[in-house]
Amino acid sequence: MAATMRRLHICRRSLAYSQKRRSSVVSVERVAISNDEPNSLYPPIKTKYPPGTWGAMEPKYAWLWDKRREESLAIPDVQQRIAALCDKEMKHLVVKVKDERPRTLDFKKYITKTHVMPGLPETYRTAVDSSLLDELTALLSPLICDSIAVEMDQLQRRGYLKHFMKAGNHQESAAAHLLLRTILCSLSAQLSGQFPHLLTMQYDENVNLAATWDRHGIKRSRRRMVHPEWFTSDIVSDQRVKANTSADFVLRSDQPLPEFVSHDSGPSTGTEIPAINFAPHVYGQPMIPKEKSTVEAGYVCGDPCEFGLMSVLNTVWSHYSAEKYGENHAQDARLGQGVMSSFVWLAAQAHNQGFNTLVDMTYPLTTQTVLTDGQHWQFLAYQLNTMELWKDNEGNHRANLCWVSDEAKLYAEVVEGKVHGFNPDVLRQLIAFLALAPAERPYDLRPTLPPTGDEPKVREQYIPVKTEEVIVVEEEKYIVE
Amino acid sequence: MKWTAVLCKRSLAFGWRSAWGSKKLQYPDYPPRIPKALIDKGVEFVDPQKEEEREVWRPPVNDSRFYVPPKKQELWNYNEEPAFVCTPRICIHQGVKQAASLAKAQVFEGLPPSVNRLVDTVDIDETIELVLQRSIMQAQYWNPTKEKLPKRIDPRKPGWKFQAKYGIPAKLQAGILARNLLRLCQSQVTAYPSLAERRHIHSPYINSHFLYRDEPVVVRGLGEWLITSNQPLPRFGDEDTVDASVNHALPDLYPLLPTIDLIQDHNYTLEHNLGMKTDWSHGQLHTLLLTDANHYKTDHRLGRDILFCLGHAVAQARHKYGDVTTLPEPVCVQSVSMDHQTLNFVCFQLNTLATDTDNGVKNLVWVDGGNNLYHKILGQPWMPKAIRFERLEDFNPTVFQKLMALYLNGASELKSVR
Repeated sequence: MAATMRRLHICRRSLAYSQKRRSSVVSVERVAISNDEPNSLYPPIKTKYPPGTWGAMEPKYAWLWDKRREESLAIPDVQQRIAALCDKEMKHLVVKVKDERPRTLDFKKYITKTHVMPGLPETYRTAVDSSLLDELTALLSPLICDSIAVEMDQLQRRGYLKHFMKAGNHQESAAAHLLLRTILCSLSAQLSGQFPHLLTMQYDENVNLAATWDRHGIKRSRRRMVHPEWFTSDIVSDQRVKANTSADFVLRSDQPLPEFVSHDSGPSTGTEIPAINFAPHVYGQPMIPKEKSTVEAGYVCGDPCEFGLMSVLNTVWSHYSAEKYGENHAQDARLGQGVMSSFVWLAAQAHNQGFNTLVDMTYPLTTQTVLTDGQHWQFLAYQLNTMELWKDNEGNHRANLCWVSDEAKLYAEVVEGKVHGFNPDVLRQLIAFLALAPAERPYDLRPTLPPTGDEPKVREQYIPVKTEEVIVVEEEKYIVE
Repeated sequence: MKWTAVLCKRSLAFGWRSAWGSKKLQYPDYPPRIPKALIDKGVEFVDPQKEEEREVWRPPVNDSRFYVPPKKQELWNYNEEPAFVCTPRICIHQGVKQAASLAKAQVFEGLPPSVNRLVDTVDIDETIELVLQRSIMQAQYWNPTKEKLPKRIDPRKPGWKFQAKYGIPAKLQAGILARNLLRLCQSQVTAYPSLAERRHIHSPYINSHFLYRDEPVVVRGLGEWLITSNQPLPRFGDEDTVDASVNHALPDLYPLLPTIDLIQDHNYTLEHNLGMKTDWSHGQLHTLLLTDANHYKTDHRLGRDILFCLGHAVAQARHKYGDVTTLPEPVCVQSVSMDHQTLNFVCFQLNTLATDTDNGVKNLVWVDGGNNLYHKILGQPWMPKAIRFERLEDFNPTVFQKLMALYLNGASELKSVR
């Protein structure tokens, strides 16, 4: 039995090896023909690199990536395409999103290829009417003050906050969660009259997000077969990365937010992302043994609200980081959380549109992220331009962009049911985030997938309406005509 | 339910355990057989297998790893005399009849006339209907939670082994739907600006009590949502209805007492705590929303809702009017209890605090239960393909109209309609 198994194993390897050798023969479909003569007797000549820019990558390895891309593109279904990417068990570099350790922000910027810029994009000045914002801020300030006073002082929650606490969470975190829920629910409902997208959007809490991608610049050994019974390993510079996180609140819509800047110009291209100086484990990022990847965008396929409007992240956990390492490091840790969460959420959304680490995005996706512990608020605007992060900067000149506002206090303190030091500018910015309306893009959002007949977002009925049966009682006829 | 298949199914587990002990590889130690002559002789026997009782080790300092919760008798709220306690999870088996007897209430079927008029006023357009359907779909299928669901038992096919299912737990389904319905109600603030004065409190706490035949009945626990306002709810029943209630006879459950389903507990506090400080400007009770994830019948839930309405109304009345028996103005509270598809409505008007006697003016309750927003038909895998899979049917937006009417009750813009 054992000998038979052994022979079968060797046969399989031989078959794989012979297929591999055959595959190295020039493929007619994916080659660029060097001579333009139509009736040439010679076979087409394989170019050194596949179409596109490849930077300093070896030609053979570039052709391998191109082959993978073609295989991914050949899958016509989103779920199958994600499954094909995630089903292979690989060693992953796991990036911690909520990381208390100091000095990890640069690593997170590098791993997501994000260029962080101070201030918020110009879109907020042009897309939303400034006078309307001021008016709404003045109108809603008493409501928000009241909500803060109620949650932080009027309600006697301290005795039973343990009911709201998840494992590992602190009481302060639960209190902040309740306050944020009150503020978000109130604001989204009150503003839905002026901004109709807030009525049709979906609101969710405690949503798991996960994404996977490959990043250039981190070396790994790649197993390569040279003989049916003999393998060797190459050192390549792309590492499969994955990250899981949980967003406390998410708002989703059936159309994407407008892009903040152009996809192919401005800060999206040519921005230098500084390289990391140390190996990932120095930054406290562990490498896990082989396992499958996961992609979770906070909804299941079939949900029409596929695009993120806003996510709100609770940052109470960073208070302990501040106690240990100081406020500056805690601020970096919070920003790292914001950058990573935004990237992971957008990358997962991009997966559901047919893009992935192999098939790069043809248009940018944007989202808004709010980092807050209830009192301190920081606003982030993120634009995902590319997921092809396994190429070097020369091969892929695009970078992802993140705009960050300064951290500000919503209120100073609550004393005897009164809110002191209320800052309307923070509320104004929050309203501006909610008011930014998603818009229909003038191009196909799923260019790499064949069109499907029944799209969930165009459906007008999901559940058949109850029909009332009318019972007609016919009069009995006693006289037969 | 067809019991034959269940009863005929032989299970050897009970017999095996009784013969060989409750746990695997552990056998019962039968007592040693000691000759009677030895016992008569007065010989002392020591069981070699019996372990000496050791003193429980206590850590010298406070260490959370060795935390031992205090006994019930050592808690600060321990009382010698037990009280009847009503919690949100309680099952009132005789339902509305039993609760009416406890709450000294006269029960009317359907919604109060003033709310019924509002139901006709509420208009649901296509956008709200679409959002409503999306909210249901989000609660049922689109939320990404994947938890192992409890084992399903279908009386139509006893003995059928269902596959383990992962999905959204029933409690979360009800919570998501409740949150979305309330958000939809609140979004009507553009049409009715006075709705801006409503405040939504998630997981409100209540610890209140009333007397039933001189014994305290404590109502305590956490609801799902509590809506408060700056204005009290208008009364549901006019003065004639209140006066006529004097002649109403309360339901009799003889030989049972209506307190039979309530928990008897020694740990309680007799207070009127609505979970908030009294001087809040928006502290007037409006609507209480409770969610369920059990298999209780509608009548059971309505009974529990009536008791919770009574608890809230009593607490509000005590804060407002102090320790009185006759109220100068009735206190009104509404309640909505729901699971993933059914909504039950209760409108409660507290006319008297003298709940320990059956005579005099009664409180008034309107109940409208069993309103299905839609119908979830579970799959029957043993049947042909057409009905094999789970599906949602019979979407009924009229139920949401009722909820909206309850929410709009008290809005100053609709005073003329009421």
